[in-house]
Amino acid sequence: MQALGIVFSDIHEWDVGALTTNRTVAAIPFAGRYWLIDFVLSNMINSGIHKVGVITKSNYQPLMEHIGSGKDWDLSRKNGGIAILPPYGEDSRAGLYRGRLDALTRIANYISNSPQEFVVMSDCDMICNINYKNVIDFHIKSGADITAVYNEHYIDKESAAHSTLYTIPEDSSNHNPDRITEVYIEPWYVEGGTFKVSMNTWVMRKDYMLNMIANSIATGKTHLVRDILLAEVDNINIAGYEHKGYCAHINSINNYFKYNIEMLDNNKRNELFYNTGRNVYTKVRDSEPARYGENANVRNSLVADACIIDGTVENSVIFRGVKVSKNSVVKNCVVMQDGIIGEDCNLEWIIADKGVIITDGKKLTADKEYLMYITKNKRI
Amino acid sequence: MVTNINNILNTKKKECVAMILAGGQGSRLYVLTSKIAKPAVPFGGKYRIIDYTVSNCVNSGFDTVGVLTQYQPLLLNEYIGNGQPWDLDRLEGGVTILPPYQKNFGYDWYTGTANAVYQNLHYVERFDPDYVIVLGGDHIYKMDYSLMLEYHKEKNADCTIAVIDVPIEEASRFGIMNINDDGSIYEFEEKPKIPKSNKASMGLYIFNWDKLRKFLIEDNEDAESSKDFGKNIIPKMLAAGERMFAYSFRGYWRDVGTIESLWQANMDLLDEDFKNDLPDWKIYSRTTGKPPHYIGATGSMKNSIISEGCEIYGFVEHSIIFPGVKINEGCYVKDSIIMANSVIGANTSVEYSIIDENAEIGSNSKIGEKRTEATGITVVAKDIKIGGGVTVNPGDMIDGDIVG
Repeated sequence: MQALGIVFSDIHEWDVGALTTNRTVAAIPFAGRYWLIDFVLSNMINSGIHKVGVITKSNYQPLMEHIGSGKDWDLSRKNGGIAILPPYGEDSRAGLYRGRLDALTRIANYISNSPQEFVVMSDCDMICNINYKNVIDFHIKSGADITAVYNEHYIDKESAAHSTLYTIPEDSSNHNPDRITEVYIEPWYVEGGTFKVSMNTWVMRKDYMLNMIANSIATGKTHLVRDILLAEVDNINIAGYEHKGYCAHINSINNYFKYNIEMLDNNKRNELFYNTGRNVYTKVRDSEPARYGENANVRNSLVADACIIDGTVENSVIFRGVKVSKNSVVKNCVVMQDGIIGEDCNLEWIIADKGVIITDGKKLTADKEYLMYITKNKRI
Repeated sequence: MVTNINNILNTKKKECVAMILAGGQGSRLYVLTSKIAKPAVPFGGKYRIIDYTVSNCVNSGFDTVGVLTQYQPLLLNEYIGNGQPWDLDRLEGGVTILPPYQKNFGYDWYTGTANAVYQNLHYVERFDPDYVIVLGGDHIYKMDYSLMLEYHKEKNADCTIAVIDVPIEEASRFGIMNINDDGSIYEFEEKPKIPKSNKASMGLYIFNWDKLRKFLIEDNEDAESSKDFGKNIIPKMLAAGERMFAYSFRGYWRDVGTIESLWQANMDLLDEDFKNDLPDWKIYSRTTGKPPHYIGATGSMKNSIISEGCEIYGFVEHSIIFPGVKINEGCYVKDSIIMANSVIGANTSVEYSIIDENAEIGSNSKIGEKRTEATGITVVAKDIKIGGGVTVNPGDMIDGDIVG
């Protein structure tokens, strides 16, 4: 029951705005030391998937550096291992792909040359700790053509406009109780509520996928969700698999902030990192542990390696290599890698992207209702 | 037909091969080395002692490293593994663990530092090196060995010994090199009563391989010899009139052979001066891959190093906390080292103590006492469970469970 993993590294990049100006969705930093793709790759290796192709479109150079040979995820292997699949094509299909299906058509050879029987596909915008083995077992048992993974949770109007929702009728007489009967793509008109939200993860047999690809080329289909799931929902058997563990959907700056801060909650953090017994791996940076000075005063915060903290930090997530100098207060903030906060600063409700420098004495206060985002490498 | 092993392994010539002596028991670390070798003892919040020497080798451009193990080698062998964390998983060279082995004419343990290298002559010969650097695996320091090799070549030496200036009043505890103005060594005195100089040997040598080979073979025939570099090889080379030079190292260097020195070297990491010692010289280690540490609403800390995956709800001051440690509410941890995955129960105080990995200490207990001139360091061994309401006296070494 071997499976091939395919990761879409930069679908949805328009959703998260400024965070993806200079990076793919896969490269968005999370929880102090991870990139979003780390969760997908860790899920795959922890589920026994040893061959993974990462589909990229643009801005993929940092991603290639991050992944390297794949050894940090145990994906540097003779049989399988990780492969970056940059835009590639022949004749009329050359250039950037338009949708997931279009992207798959360009790697049809990679897929058909893989000996695995199943394919697990995933985007990078969903943070979870899931065992894909269970999804494949479910897929075999249900006899479905495609299995779509979802998580049932409350979403607001903004989130709905960036999500795919499924309907599975709750009817006890239904002989196919897991079958998805309706698909809604980015329903902006939904006012919020509890829905079966697509986790943008799908499982199918490799042969089924190769057929789908061949048909798509013949008929000019390019988008998996629009042209297959939505258009063919009555003709093909799409089963919904419910993931019941932690699930965070990074689909806006506000949600990005919310889910980072949510990692301060022991239950949530345990659910994502510890309870399943499946580790989350990331690139090893060999940095020193964090160092606290005489004036440090830290409460309810996550602090990563190589930080030097000599100020006050509260309710914040502090990424690797950040420096907070004395007499400064950082409250309700997400400060990404290698940020430097000078002396006598006051920061509240801020998302500081990588490498931000705040010079001495600066007071930057935003609000819970209106966060301030400081762009990468900005000096204030 | 004789097949040369070099043809099978495709070994190419290396200029310099490093041999790390990592077989020592470290008996003066008592319970900390009852299950592991001294070089494998955790250090500095995420490292093990040997990480410093191995990282120095790699950072100095030496990519062929033999690690000689003997005492409790299991963890060390597994830890070094294929050498990947130190970038020593190489097609040619890389890191090789060299334990004692059985030969067709019997087998021997390593009976001394020189004997350990002697028993692995064939390993070194495969690389046909010009030089061999012999290092201990149990010191904390950042050093560019390539500069020492340059010096060795410049002096056209047969052997270069790294030395460090120690206070003259302490010099009688060390092996002391007495040197001429040009840096050449005319005398070596092991722990002299009245030292003539303050240049202490760091137990770190660069040899011309052909010379070392000759002396190792001769020394092995000598029934009187204790087969030790410091006691036998160096004096014999000096007596034979070989060109021996001292190379002065000026950085931070600490022996961590005792509980006190291990504690002090850890605390030195909190010192401003140490931070500025080759800040870009990375020390590599095999890591645990945990999320960042979490400081709870009741937690606070001053002047401390805290590693990944910890949960801190108590007060931590002037301490080194390794990955995955949990310090519960109401705890008071001061002047202490708490190694990976240990748990300190609520309202427990830990002062001037070393808690080894995976220990569990119950609530309302008292481990050690405030650091003074008179108090000793309290040590709790690996995997030990101490119940609630227990008092452990300063200077005690706990290597059995205590029920609360």
